Amino acid sequence: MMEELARIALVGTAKHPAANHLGAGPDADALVGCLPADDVEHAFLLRAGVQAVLAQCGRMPVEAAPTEPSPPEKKPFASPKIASLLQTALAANSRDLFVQFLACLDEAGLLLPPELLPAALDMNDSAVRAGLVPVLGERGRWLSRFNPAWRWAAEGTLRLSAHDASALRAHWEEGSSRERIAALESLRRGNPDEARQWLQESIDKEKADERLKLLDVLREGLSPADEEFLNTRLDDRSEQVRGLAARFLARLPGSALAGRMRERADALLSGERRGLLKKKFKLACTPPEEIEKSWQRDGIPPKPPAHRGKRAVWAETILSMTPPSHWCERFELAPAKLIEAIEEDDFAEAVLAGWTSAAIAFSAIDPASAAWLTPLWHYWLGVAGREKAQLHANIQEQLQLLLRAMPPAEAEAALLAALEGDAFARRSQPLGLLAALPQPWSEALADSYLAIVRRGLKRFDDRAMRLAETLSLAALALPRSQLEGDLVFVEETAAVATNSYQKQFVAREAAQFLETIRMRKAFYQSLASESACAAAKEAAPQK
Amino acid sequence: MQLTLEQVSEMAPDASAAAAGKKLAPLKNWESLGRSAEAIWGLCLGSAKYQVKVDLSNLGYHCSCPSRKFPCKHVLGLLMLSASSPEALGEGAPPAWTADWLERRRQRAEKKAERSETEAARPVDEKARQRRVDQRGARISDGLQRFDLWLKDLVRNGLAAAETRPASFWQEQAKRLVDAQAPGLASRVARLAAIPRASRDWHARLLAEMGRLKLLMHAWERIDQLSPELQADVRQLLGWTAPQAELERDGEPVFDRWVVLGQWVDDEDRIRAQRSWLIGRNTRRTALVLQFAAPGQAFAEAIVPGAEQEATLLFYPGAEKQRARFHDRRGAVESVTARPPGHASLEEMLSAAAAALARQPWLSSFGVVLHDVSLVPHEETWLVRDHVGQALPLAGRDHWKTLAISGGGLIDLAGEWDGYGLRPLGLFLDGAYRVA
Repeated sequence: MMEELARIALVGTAKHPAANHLGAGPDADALVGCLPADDVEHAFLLRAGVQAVLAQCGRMPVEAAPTEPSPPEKKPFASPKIASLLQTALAANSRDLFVQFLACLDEAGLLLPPELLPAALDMNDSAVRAGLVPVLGERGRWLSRFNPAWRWAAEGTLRLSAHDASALRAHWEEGSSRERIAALESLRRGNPDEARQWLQESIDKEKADERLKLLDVLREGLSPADEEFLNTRLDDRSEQVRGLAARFLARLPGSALAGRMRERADALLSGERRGLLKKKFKLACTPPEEIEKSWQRDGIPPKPPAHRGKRAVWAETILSMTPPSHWCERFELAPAKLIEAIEEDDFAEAVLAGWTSAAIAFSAIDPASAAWLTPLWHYWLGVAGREKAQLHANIQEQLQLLLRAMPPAEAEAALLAALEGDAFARRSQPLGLLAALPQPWSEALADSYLAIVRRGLKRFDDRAMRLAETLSLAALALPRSQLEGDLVFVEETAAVATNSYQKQFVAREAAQFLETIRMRKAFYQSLASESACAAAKEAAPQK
Repeated sequence: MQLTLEQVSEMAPDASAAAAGKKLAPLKNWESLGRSAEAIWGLCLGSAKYQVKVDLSNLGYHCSCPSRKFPCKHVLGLLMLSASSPEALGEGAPPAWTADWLERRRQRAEKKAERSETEAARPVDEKARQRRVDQRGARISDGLQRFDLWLKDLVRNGLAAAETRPASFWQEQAKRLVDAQAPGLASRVARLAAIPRASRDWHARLLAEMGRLKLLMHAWERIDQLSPELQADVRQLLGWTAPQAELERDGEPVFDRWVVLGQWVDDEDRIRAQRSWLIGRNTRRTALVLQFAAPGQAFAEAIVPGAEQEATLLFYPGAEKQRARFHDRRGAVESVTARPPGHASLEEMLSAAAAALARQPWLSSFGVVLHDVSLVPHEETWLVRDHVGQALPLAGRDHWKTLAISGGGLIDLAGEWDGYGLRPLGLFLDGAYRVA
């Protein structure tokens, strides 16, 4: 009835012939009956009103199939108190703190409280997502099924349990770019040869940037069995893909490319003893004037990037694809001596950059090459102390990459030495270097860090500003044992009232540092009391 | 008083105030904390020492800080501290700065009550009153007549044209009705602007609402023939509200243990309108408490979802009493620990709504509690499903948090039913309340 009225109203009572003779049931007619017959709209609207009320009174529910409820959980949810702390970390936009809390939650065997799931599943950050996967629980995975934007939660599960071959195959054949890469990564971990075959079958159908991403999956579990396939990629249309294939091949010690590179490298560097007593060992680098076409196929760029000489770029590229341990064998000298021996050469910068890339790339597979990391770190730190400012970005990057490649203890030791040294204080940017260290920091590092900050912060000079920049990182990286330590000096700094920009900046960073420390403490305390509670419940005898 | 942290956060005027309050909650920010049966108080160590106090019987608060947010972060901090570690506030006699404030509040309340009593008792100039009533009635009739012509025009020429009308097309009419002293009708007309294109059956919805407005005008023309209760309803719907003194006289006081089911704030206009639904544990009556405030200003009463309190509500006169206001809040404000009374099935809820509509056909929304229902997510329209498998649509599409908390299982859901869809406001699970 209401639909019929609505159809008439849509056209207009003036144009619709049926408008005038409508019945609306006895209730409406009782109302409408006593009206002048010529007022069509009046009667029509009254009818509509009565119908509307009748329709609302007569509203009936419909049959609906139930939603399948979430399966039972194997682990308990964290309490509302923890939920509110997590919420604060989420709202404060402190991603790293939230990720840290998620890891603690997982460690304590607790799940993310359900009310946080929608906000958590909306997160678009890969580090956050990786932290979420283990604490989503059955509830989170169940919930993610209802929203296409949350499919990553299922992909994450896929990544963790990689053995359902048909599911992987389905993702590989029909999935989005990210799903395909995730499926290939899973397979590569369990069955590297099959993963390579999948890739081999379809890589030529892909666009260049997709080929690059897919090829990069082989980084994990690289083995001589991959050589044949990688060799075919040296003829890829994309220079980037060729370069990546060449770098992978270089890491396979027995590969033909590795052999070719070593020959080129050997031709590059020569050493001789100089001086009266022939005690002083010097290295010289003589890059070729021109390169053959076949070199390009091996990932050596024919044209250098802007502002760089082609010979230097060739030298750097060749050396970066040769394990640095080779030079110790060939010249029978330790890394530090070899570094010293090249420093005065015209191409010293290119050689050292190449060695650095090589040490980082080969450190994971070749312990003798890993021994180069610390000597190179000291070399670059020395350069940072001497050089002019414009070179710093590059040097800073080398230092960070080296730190990341070192084993944690070695990296901390290297940075600790630097923290005490003068070069660090004057020239380099401490923030980036500290960020390259694994977290949480050791107590020794935390101690010396706090000692330096204690001395430096109160001066409110440029250096204090640089130190203040590191506070937000330190607030996350300090080990738990240091949270209870004496931080009064930071509180004093935070409380400084001033008009100077520098002081305000330092005070603000100090206040933020204390806030993060406070949140971490509150979180650990709640977590500890909750785990204790859960343990007590488990230990209690069953009634 | 025992509120949860979530409830306190809901009281904050915005998210940043809630976050700032949370920061102030740790004990180290406070001095001279204490509580009595009537109030909690403390000195907050901010940029100065602020005196913060909260009246427990109605969550009235005051802080000596100059903030223009209500409640300010200091008040929120004190409430959060009291929620998270109640033991931090020792029992004791309130200090002078709290006792004085409580006393002033009491005096103010008494004076107000006295004033309304004297006002009610004051002999009125019956002639002058009648003249004013006649004048207003005439202006409303005038305005309604003009609006009637416009409404008929609209339906004569067809609603199809309404689809492309700008909002001003409707607002112009609303403005005219305000001028005609019928602001209630005006806001209903202004809301028509939202209907076109909002749903697939928008023209049927628009016509339905137009028809009901027509019925209202029809009732106004014959108001003498209606019962006194319906007369009060029609006046209220048009926006002719009775003076406070009259409400005190004609309103129905209902004492009960009132549970706040939930609320939402409509801030599309310059004035923010807060709608809170309550249900009485013993009388099972539902009440709608409306409050208005300018942006950034606090609502006069602190009404916290998921809290319950013994109090007297004063219902506005009408054939089906729904709207009410707090008359007397004496009992302690507590968090809900058990589900409130509610409907066992959707059919029961619908027949209750139909019965209410039979008494007062212009009711546009109902506060309801549904026992043992589950949510059914859907791309287009979400459903709420009762335990016998019947379902009704939910209003809106973002019910993820409620779905996550329920895990697809049975919950007790409180919401607002408008005849088309249910807008979830809160849920009860294992005795505890959550904002939906």
